[in-house]
Amino acid sequence: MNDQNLPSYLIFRNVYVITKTLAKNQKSKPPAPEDLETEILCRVPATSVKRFHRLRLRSTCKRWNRLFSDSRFTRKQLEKAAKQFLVLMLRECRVCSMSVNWMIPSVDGSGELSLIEPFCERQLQISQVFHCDGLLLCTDKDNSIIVVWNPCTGQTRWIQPRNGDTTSEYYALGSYQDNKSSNKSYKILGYGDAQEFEIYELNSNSWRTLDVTPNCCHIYTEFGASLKGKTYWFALDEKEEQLDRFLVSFDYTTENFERLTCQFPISMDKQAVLSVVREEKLSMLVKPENTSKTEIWLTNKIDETKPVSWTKVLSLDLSPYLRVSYEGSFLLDEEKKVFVLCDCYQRKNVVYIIEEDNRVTNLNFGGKFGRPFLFNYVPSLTQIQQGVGVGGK
Amino acid sequence: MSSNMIMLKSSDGASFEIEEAAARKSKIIANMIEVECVDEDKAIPLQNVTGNILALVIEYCNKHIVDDDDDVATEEASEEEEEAKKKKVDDWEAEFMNSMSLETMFELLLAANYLNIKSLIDLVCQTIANNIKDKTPEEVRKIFSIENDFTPEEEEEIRKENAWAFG
Repeated sequence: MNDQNLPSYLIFRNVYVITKTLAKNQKSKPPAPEDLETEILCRVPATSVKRFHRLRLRSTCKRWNRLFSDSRFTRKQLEKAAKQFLVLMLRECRVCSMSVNWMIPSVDGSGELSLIEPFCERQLQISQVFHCDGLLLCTDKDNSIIVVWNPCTGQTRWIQPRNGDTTSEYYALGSYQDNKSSNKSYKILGYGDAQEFEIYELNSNSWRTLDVTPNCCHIYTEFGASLKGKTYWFALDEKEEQLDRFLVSFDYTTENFERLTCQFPISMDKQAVLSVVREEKLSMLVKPENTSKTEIWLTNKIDETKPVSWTKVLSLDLSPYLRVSYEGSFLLDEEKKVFVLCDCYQRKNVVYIIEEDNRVTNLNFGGKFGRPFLFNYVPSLTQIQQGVGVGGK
Repeated sequence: MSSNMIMLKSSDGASFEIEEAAARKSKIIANMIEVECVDEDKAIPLQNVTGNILALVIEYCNKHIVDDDDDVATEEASEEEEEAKKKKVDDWEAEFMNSMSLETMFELLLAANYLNIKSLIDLVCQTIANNIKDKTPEEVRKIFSIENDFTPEEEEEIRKENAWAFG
């Protein structure tokens, strides 16, 4: 009653056909059993949220420890593992982890993330932070040092801004496909109100001026939003009579700006803030100045193939005293129809939790230094390229 | 036997009848059908898969032929309909995986790999990953039969390096 009872030619024929088809059609080849282990491990999230611990599986054995630092593995992990959406807040010049309870609206500042400056051994005083693929791009308050930091692996790369008069005021981080190594790679885009742009490739460790004019657009806000490697901002076209804002994106592969079609313009008398939702959609808070009407708009899932379209998801009548400045930041929970807004008012950091029924809960989070910034963080094991002849952990 | 049914035989001699469309979920079997290597009267012997595991594989394949047909028929289905359908499949898969032990999952993974059923490989890998994500290294070593090749000092070092960056 087993295989031995079958005519041997049939077994042979099957094995022969299997082997032959496999050799012919590499695409359909299943992973070798030893690769199955990798297939399992790359699906384990980067951190265990419950224990707020970085991946401990590293210490299982030497082979696994090496695997978790392998860039091929970490890329696979970024693609396959379930994304964890954590909330961080820049306040008092430090990055802090926040726990946001969307069910019973509450926000709790759970702790500061430590980032020690090399050479002087003190905590970096951060004035700007930008998130992309689990990497944080931080700038200190004098714009004298930039760091690309993976809080999940502890890896850092310290970068000197370009010397001279044209030092950028703001920085954004984005990814592109490096054709030379066929790996995903990162670039920093530096820009300022003068609309001059410069690029730093993490692969090459040097700055260069970017010779593009973004179709007469004026990049309007300092904080861009990062989605799928690109950066998005509100912009203006000064040639147009009606000064309406619209969205532009920067593609780090082509190094070009693109104006997004299929969108409504936001007139200048409205305040507008941009945010990223679950790493797949953009959200926008629109509030005419000096009124209490506030709207939250959401895009479809942004990909290369479909045009971007906006839908209004929340329309609220908030207290006119609720402050939303251009520097405010917010996060939206699409399902629960709740959003969290963070702003600075009279040197105090205030976090508002606003529900669909206009209910507002507000919480104070210190103040004094700098303005607060609330953002999503998706832990990853993404490796930071160290460039040529650059030290760092 | 109807013409679109085929027979599969497990390593321990159990025979299973399965619709051709369901069996085609396995790239290996699909290839065998393409090259007309399947004898209608004879069962396909699967030397590396036991009967209890093959039964699970067949249960999975039977559930998923319907989905493939739907994909063709409802290309213009709305986003909500798509999502509702996906949720139904997800719920079924969660229930399906929930019913088995970790040991069975590993056997099922090897069978899915041998038969080359990509979506099942993905599903089982994901379930095992969810299972081990909050486990200690000691527990994981046991599950994967891995020997700890670190000295206690090295292990302590890695543990320290991997503490979160909270000050």
